[in-house]
Amino acid sequence: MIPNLMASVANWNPQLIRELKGRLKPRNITLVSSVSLLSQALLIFFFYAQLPTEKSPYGRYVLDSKQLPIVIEWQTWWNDIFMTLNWILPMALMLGGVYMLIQDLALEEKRGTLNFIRLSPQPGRDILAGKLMGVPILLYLGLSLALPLQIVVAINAQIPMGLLLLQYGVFAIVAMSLFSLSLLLPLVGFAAGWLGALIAVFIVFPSLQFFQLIFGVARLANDNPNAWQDFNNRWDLWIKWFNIPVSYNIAAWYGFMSLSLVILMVGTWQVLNRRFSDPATTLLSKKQSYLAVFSLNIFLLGFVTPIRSTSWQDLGTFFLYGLIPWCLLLAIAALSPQRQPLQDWARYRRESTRNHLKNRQLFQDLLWAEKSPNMLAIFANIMITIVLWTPWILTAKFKFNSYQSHQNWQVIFSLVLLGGLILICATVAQLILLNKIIKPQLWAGGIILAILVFPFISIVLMAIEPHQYPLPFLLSFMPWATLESAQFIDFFLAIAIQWTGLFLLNVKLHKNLLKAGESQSKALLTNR
Amino acid sequence: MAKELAIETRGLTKQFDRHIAVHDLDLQVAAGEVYGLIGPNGAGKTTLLQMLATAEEPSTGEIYIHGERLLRDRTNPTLKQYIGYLPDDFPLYDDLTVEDYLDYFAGLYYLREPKRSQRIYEVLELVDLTHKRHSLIATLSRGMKQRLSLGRTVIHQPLLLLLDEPVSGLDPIARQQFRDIIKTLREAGMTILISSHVLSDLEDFCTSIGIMELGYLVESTSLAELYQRLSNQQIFISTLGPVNPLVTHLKNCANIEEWEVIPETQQIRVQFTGDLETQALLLRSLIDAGLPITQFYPTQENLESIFLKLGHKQAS
Repeated sequence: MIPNLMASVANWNPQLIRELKGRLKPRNITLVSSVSLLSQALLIFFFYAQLPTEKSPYGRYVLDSKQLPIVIEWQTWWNDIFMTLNWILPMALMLGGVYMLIQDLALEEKRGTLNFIRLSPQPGRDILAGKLMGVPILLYLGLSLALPLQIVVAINAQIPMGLLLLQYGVFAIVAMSLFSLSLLLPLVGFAAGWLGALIAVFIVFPSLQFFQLIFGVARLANDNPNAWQDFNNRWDLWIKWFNIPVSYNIAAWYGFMSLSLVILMVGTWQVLNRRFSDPATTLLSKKQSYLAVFSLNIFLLGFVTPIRSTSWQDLGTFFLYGLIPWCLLLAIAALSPQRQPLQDWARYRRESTRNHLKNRQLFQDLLWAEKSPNMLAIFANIMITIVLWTPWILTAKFKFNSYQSHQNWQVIFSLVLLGGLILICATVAQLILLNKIIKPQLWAGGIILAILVFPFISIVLMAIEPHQYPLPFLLSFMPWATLESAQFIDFFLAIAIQWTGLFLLNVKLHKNLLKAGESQSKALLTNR
Repeated sequence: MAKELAIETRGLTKQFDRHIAVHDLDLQVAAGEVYGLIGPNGAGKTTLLQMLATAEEPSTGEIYIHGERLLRDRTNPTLKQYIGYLPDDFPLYDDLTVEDYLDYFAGLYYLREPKRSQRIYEVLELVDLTHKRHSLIATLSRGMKQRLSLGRTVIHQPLLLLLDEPVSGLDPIARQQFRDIIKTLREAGMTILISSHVLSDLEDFCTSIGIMELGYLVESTSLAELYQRLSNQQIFISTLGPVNPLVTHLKNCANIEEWEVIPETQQIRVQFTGDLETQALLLRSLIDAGLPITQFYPTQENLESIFLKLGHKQAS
């Protein structure tokens, strides 16, 4: 039966069977099983040692310390073990999995073995799915050996089984999302598994805390049907997405989170498939970037539309100034082609284009084609963002000082300025990537960071006040700081300065691209 | 009727920065041929093979494999099924056994049972690794690893086999074993494109030769035509007695352009322009003249000297 099963798995996903054959060796299985069982025994022993005895009849688990013989509060004891397991198991799964996947894929990329797999007709997503299921197989084995213990503990702690299963489902989706993102890292040159796991701690830890909180409320809801509503009211956590009460109860919450994560995962797998098949390509195609930016904006808008109170409007403002600009900067990284593809585009594009179609074709190329420079695509993404948020901005009641009426136009102008700054960053990134230097991505990242941070440091060092000199603030990455005092003329000046700079940078980029695309003989004749 | 083309490239170009590795290359290789690609290191052979194997994207130009166009920005799954590519370096998985490794790649190329086990068995036989089927790859010698890599390359019975410097770094016995495998694959009807900078590696099994220099394909012809065009026939004649009577006799024979006495032997190398019949007549005349002939050995000029005649130099 086992050989038949293996043959079916091999037909379904050869990568998975390769990972299993490489890892599921008797020695490894014995070692992992022993470590898992021993750890479980140690955990039980640790909690057993906490139980009160006749010599020391105190502690958390004594129902009444004056009463003899001692009456132990077993349900709390079991519950503590359950909660501990609820921390350890998902933490080990997620951090261990992230580490293993990054290390394994980075090693294959380094050794060059992935290139052979790329030459096969097998789709990249199948290979990576095989990795996701197979690389952490020993970890899955060790943790699944701990599941019977958790189930026994859950029964004794009177945890509803349905809730436990629901939680496992959500953990699985969170872990899969995290693992999918981990698979992406080695494909963009990130090879340090331990660093990946460290970064994952910052995602996993708060998520688990949140899960524990929800879990606690859900347990309370067993006795008190209003527990969930009380919780929402107390923490002002009535989260609505386009007026859908997604925090109405635990099922709605988990359902909404799971759906969001599944959509994120679908997107991640599109990128994974693309990048795996062609490591030289940009992370996203231009079309994918438009879809991603559109979806992100709709997702975020959902939380703050309609505007229910000032704090929800503040959250929307944070999205606009504190989150979306960073996502658009990431879009620059995901959309900017390297020197070689740019050179190919500049050199050989004209050969496939007829003369009278050149300008139209250029526009189409910049908007949709692979290898073409990033600016128009970034511009389109900025426009998508501004257009989607404009109705929200117009319905919001921004009031930055008490002397003026609502200042919504300032917000729109400041977003145009932010967009301009992002376009400058995109052009600078493309200029750097076109240069023949070592580690151009690092240089591009560093210089963009300098463009963002330098004005801020200068403003601080020169002790410029936003209400006195709004212009430097308007040109920086934080135009919001001066919205209360900036006048129309300030915005006009800032936009004029910014777009002049942008124009000059693009002229330079155009020249560099023409030079990169000129023929060998021309370069030879002009003695370059 | 024209033979089907296994490979056709039109204006194929690959530029790395300012360096053009492959320049406007039009290559045609008929199905069933063994095409040897010769050229010094840096001539663009590897880049050409990588582009044909879909491992590298051309800067411009078109590639057709058995009439199907290789499309850019696509994964080309059907075409990948046609191609087997063995690069000059071949990292393997040390944690797998020989059989598991072949099984893995058979799976990647959609081979299903029972054909899969049958094919793995055939390939193990072909590359002479049946006795090592349960050994870990880490324990194999370099020659065995090279043969295993070739086995992996042909596991899905590709129509086109692309081999990049396959015998470089192997000892003479391993080279010979490798050549024998390639001959078997040729007999099975596979089209093989094999690159090398060592001519002697290619001449005993290639049917056509292409010469690359500085990214250009400067010569592409069948081996028979190349020999016919440029190779001289030579006959080595040995005698028991002194060579002078032999030389005197040869001076009066037709179809002999020049001769050379090989020093410190009783052997003469003769440049001969006649056909097989005139060769037989020459031998008869030598016997009839009562010369004690011990050896009469016709041979052709080797590829290396033809190559030099064409004005090319081997980098090696």
